[in-house]
Amino acid sequence: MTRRAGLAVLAAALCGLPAHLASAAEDPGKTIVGEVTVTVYYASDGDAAAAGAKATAVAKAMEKRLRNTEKLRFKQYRLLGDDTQPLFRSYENWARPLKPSEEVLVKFEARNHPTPQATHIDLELWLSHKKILKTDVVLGGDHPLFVLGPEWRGGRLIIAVSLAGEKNVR
Amino acid sequence: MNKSSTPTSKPPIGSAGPVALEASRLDPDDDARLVALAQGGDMRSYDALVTRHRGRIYAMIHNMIHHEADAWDLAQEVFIKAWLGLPQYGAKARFSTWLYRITHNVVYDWSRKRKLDSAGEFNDEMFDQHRIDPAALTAPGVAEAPDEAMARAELRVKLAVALAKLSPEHREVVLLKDVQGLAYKEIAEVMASSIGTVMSRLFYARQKLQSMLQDEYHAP
Amino acid sequence: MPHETYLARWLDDDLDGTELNAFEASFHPGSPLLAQRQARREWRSTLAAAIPAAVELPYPEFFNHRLAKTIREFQDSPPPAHQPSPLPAPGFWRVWWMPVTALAGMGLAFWAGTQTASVTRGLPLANPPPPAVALHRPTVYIPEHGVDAEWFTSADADAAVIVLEGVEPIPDSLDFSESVGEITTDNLTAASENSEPLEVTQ
Repeated sequence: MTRRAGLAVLAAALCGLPAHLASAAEDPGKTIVGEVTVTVYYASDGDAAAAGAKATAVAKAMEKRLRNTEKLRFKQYRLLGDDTQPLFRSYENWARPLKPSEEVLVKFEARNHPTPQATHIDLELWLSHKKILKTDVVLGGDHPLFVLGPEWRGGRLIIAVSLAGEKNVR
Repeated sequence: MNKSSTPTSKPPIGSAGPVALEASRLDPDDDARLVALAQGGDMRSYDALVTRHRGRIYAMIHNMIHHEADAWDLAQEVFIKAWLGLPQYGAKARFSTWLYRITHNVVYDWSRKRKLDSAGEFNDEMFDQHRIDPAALTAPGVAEAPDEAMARAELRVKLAVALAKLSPEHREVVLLKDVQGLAYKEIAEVMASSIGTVMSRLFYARQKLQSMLQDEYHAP
Repeated sequence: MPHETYLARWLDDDLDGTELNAFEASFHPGSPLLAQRQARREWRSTLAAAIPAAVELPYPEFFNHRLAKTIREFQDSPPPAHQPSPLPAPGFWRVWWMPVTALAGMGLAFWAGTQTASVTRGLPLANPPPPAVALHRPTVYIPEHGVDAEWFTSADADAAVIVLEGVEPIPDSLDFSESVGEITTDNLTAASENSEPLEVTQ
């Protein structure tokens, strides 16, 4: 068999996919099965104004929640940014909570079919264009993940990952 | 350097050949018997399992990473992990499928560390078609004319290059389905995905291969 | 299961037994799908001839011998008290140099992995449900040297918490108001797969 003939056989064999099958397998992986929100807070025991003029106030309920958490207890909190992105059935997606800056990026991908109680996702946290953390997390109801991140302007960044629509996560 | 009878140079590429197809059609019931003995600590039974399955595991790893020395080491790692995990192996799936699952994890971890290409980008150093030996890992044809052998070798390189252009997940699903012959359900177990995801990835991978091979076919 | 899923499986000879009989009962002898299945079989046959499913690895007897030796070393040495970070695969010619404790640590790391809700625990079902939120213990991987992570659940906050220590501080001069350059989803994904620092096109 010549090279061209061999390649022709292969290409023809692959072309033999029935047209209607294309729609069947037309990427069910891109089905949206949820939404993930990534929020970045600035936490400090000093002057909250260091976070800059664009930072906004944090909801009281969230402040209380953070303050009640060991290692996340600070005197001041400010909201730096957030991003909500779809969770695909079998594709990863990225959240950029500090757009236009890419200083904090979060990659996530579903590990299971979500249920009303829980969504299991793989997660990567990128800081300053480097992968810092890879983990898997189960989000459900009002149960987010908080990551105490790098120092900045005398305080620390706290990255919160939650399912969109969860209450009290802002 | 260890003074035991170890090789003093790298094994030449292609020094080992494909195992006979009959040997690769393994009897799962016999596997189950050997596994049960190995779980009781019988090393000879485990050695028999390794001999049975090492060809497929090595081929799978090599087809994924195209790096012979590392493939050898990773195959060792697979069987070490399998031995350590034997107490937890509950025979809900076939032993061979379980081994592919461990292989999937081992290759994934290695790839992350070795910074292989992905998402369609070509790592020339690893997958330069001139570095893929056409004679390596080739099933010898019986009474093949020289020009047929050459065409087959060229085809193998083109296929290997095309496969290498796929992302690791897409490459893996094609290898598991179209080369290793696993069922969809088994592939889903190996890759910790749903059957729908497996079908989706396989569809995309075959489309991509079709496109690349057609480009190659139409190339001057 | 939808008909089209059965069709996809049938084309790949993935059906057998009653499923196969039931599906093929609907076919007529001249169905064009039969030709398509044959084409798919030819593809697999050509691919398998070019890329064999099994290949004897180099020095196969040494492979088994080396494996047996490593396993004996595991059996003879107790695992270390703590769980070390994942070890790189040993070099082909340096396998026997690897310290026994390092190998034992690799074994302990694997064993520990099988005890958690990570993907290395046995074989998952094709579509397992997510673990219960409160019971899930995540797998945490830190690729950066010098960075540590501590995980815990906070009942007061009803949240999981990961504390990172040793991360390089963000320069105070950065105000997140601009991007360094263009970052596309493609190079985000590629960088992620490569574990490379992200390269940004200007």
